Amino acid sequence: MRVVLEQLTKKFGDVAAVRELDLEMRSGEFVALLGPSGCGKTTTLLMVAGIYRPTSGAILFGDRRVDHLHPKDRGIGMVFQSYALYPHMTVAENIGFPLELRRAIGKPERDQRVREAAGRVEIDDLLDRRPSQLSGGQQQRVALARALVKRPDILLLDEPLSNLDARLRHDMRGEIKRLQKEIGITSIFVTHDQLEALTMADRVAVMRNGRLQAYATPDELYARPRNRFVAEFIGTPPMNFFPAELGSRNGSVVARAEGIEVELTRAQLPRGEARQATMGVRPEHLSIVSPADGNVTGEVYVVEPMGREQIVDVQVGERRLRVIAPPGFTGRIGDRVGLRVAAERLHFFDPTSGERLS
Amino acid sequence: MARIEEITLPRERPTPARWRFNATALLFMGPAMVLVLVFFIAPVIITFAMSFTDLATSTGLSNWQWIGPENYARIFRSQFWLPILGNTLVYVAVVLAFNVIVGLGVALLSVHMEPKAGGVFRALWLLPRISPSVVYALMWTWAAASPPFGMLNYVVAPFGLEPRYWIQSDPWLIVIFINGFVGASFGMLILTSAIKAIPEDLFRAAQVDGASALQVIRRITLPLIKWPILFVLVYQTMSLFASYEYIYLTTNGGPGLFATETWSLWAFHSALSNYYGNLEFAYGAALAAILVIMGLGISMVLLRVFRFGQLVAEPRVEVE
Ligand SMILES: Nc1ncnc2c1ncn2[C@@H]1O[C@H](COP(=O)(O)OP(=O)(O)OP(=O)(O)O)[C@@H](O)[C@H]1O
Ligand SMILES: [Mg+2]
Repeated sequence: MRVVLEQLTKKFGDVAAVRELDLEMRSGEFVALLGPSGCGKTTTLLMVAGIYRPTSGAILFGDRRVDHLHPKDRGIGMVFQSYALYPHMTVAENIGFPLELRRAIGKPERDQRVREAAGRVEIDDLLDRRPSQLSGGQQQRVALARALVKRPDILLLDEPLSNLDARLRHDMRGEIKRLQKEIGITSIFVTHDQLEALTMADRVAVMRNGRLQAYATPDELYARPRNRFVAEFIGTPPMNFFPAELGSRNGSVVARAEGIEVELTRAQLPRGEARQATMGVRPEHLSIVSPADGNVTGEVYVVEPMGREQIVDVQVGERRLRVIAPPGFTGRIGDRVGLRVAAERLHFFDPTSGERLS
Repeated sequence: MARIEEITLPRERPTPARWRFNATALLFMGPAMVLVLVFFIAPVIITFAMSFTDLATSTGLSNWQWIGPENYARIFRSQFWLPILGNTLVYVAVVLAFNVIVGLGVALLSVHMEPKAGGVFRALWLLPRISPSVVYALMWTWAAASPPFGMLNYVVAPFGLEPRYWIQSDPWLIVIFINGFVGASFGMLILTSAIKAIPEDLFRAAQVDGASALQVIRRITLPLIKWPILFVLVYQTMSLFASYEYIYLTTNGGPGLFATETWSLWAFHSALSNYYGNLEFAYGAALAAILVIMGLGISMVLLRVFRFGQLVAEPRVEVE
C-alpha cells in the first residue's frame, strides 16, 4: 500500500510539532523516520495511525484519503515503544485481541492465526504467559505478532528497539528487516538511532524541529548529505567541519581551510559563485600519515581504541579533527602526525543556510 | 565415587532469629501501634463490652450492671428489628450501586473529556462532599420542601409530575439521592486516578487493534481498574452501613414510625437521641456491635465474590 503525506502539519497549541511534511512511500517500502528527540517523529506516526488528527494537510493510503478515519478503519498494525501489551491478558489473548474485535473471524480461525503469527516471531511456547512474565525481547515479539495478526496494509513501529539491550537490538534489527521483506508490508519505522535507520530502511526521512531535512536512501544520505544537519547527524563519529575559502587556480576550483588546499572534482563544484563554504570531511576519509606526507599536520590529542579501529582526535591549529585509524596505529598523545584528506570525499555547504553547495 | 543419589543437600533449618524479639522494630512501630490500639481496637472492645451491661442515663456511670445478652434478646424481641434490617439492606444496596455506578460513570466521562472541562466536571461532583454535611442536607430539605416551595417541584414540573412534599411522599427517593450524590464523589476520585494511571499507549494500541470507544472501556479500562473498583465497593459498603447523618438530617428515620430508619440510625437514636430522654448507651452498643458484624460479613462476601486473593496476586497496572 502506497502512503502519501501531503503538507502534513500538527500543532499543539502554539507549538508546531510537525510542519508541512511531504513524504511518499512506495508500496512495500521500509521507511525510517529519523531525527533527534522531540523532532516530531512520534507525532507523525500517530497521525498516520489516526490517533492524532492533523491540524492541516492530508494522508493518503493508496489513492484514498484517510485523515478522517478512525484508527480501526485504517488497516494498520502498530508496535509501540512501550510495547503496550495488555497486562490482564495472556500472550495468546493479546495477539488474538485485534481478531476478537472483528466479528467475522471465528474462534478456530482466530486460534490458527494467533499460532501462525506467534510462530513467525518464534514465541509459540509463550502463549499462556502474561506480559509481566516475559523478558523485554519476548514482549517485543508479542507486540510484533499482535501488530501483524490482522494482516494490516501498513505496519508502524515507534522506536521498537530502544528498550532492548545492545545485543538483542542487533538481532531484532535483522529480524524485523527480514520479516518486513518476507511479508512485503509497507512499514514506517521511527528511530532516533541513525545506525538503525541506515541498516534497516530502504529510505530514510531525516527530521528536525518538525521539518523534513532529507529523504533518501541510506547510501545517498551518507554519500551526498543534502545539508549540514544531515551530514552531521548521519555517520559515527560525526563529520568534521571547518570553514573554507573557495578560489580558482589554473582554471580549476580549490578550497583552502586550515592550511589544507585541495582541488575540487567536477562533482563537487558549487553551483553559483560561492566564495565561502563550510567544508566537511568524515573521520573515515581522513588518514594518518607521517607529518611530511599529509595535507596538513597536527598533534594527537587523544586515542580511543575500539577494537576493529581506533578513533584519533588530532589537534590542527584551533580545531580538533576526528580521524579513524587502523588498529595498527601506534601514535600516542602529543605525537605530531600528518593528515591526508580524500579530496573526492569532501563535502561543501553554504556557511549560512547550511545547504549543500554542489 | 559418590553416586548422585548419595549427595544430600543441607536441609534448611528454621531460623529462630526471625522470631526473636526485635526491640528496634518495636520502637519504630510502637507509636503507630499505640494509636491503632487506642483509636481502633479499644472502641470496638468497649462497644462489645458495653453491650452486655445496662448502662443508660438512668443508671449513670456508677449504678450499671452486667446483664448478659439481655440487650441482644431485647433487640430481637422488638417488632422493628426485621423492617429496620430490611431498610438497612435496601439502603446500602441501592446507595452503593448508585455511588459506584455514578462514580465510575463520572470518572469515565471526565477522563474522556477535554482535560480542563473534565476537571470542572469533576469539581462539580465534588461539591456535595466538600460542603458541610448540614449545609448539604439543608439544601436538599429546601429543594424537596413542600409545595408551593421546593426547587425539585419546579424541576419535575415539565415532566408532568404533580408537585408534592417529597420528604413525606417519597422519603426513600430523597434518602437515596442525598447519599448517592455525596458518595459518588469518592468512587469518582479513586477511579479517575486509577484510569489516569493506565498508560496512554494501552488505549492507543486498543484503538489501532480495532476497538471502539465502548470496547476500549469494556476490554481495557474496566479490567485494569478491577482492584480500585473492589476497593471502592468494600469501603463504601462499610461506610454506608455505619452512616446515618444525611438520613438523620432529612427524614430522621420517618415519616411515621421507622419508615426510613436504618440500623445505624436506630443505634444512634437509642444511644444518643432518645425521645424519652433516657439514653440507652448499652442498648445502642449492642445495636452497633451487630452493625460491625454485618459490615464485616458483607465485606467478606464481596471479597470472596471478587476473588480477592487472585486480584492481589496479579499485578495491577504495569507499564511494558
Ligand atoms: N500531546 C502533546 N501536547 C503538547 N505537545 C506535544 C504533545 N506531543 C508532542 N508534543 C511536542 O511536540 C514535539 C514533537 O514530539 P514527538 O513526541 O513527536 O517527538 P519525537 O520525535 O517522537 O521525540 P522522541 O524521540 O523523544 O520520542 C515535542 O516538542 C513535544 O514536546
Ligand atoms: Mg517519540
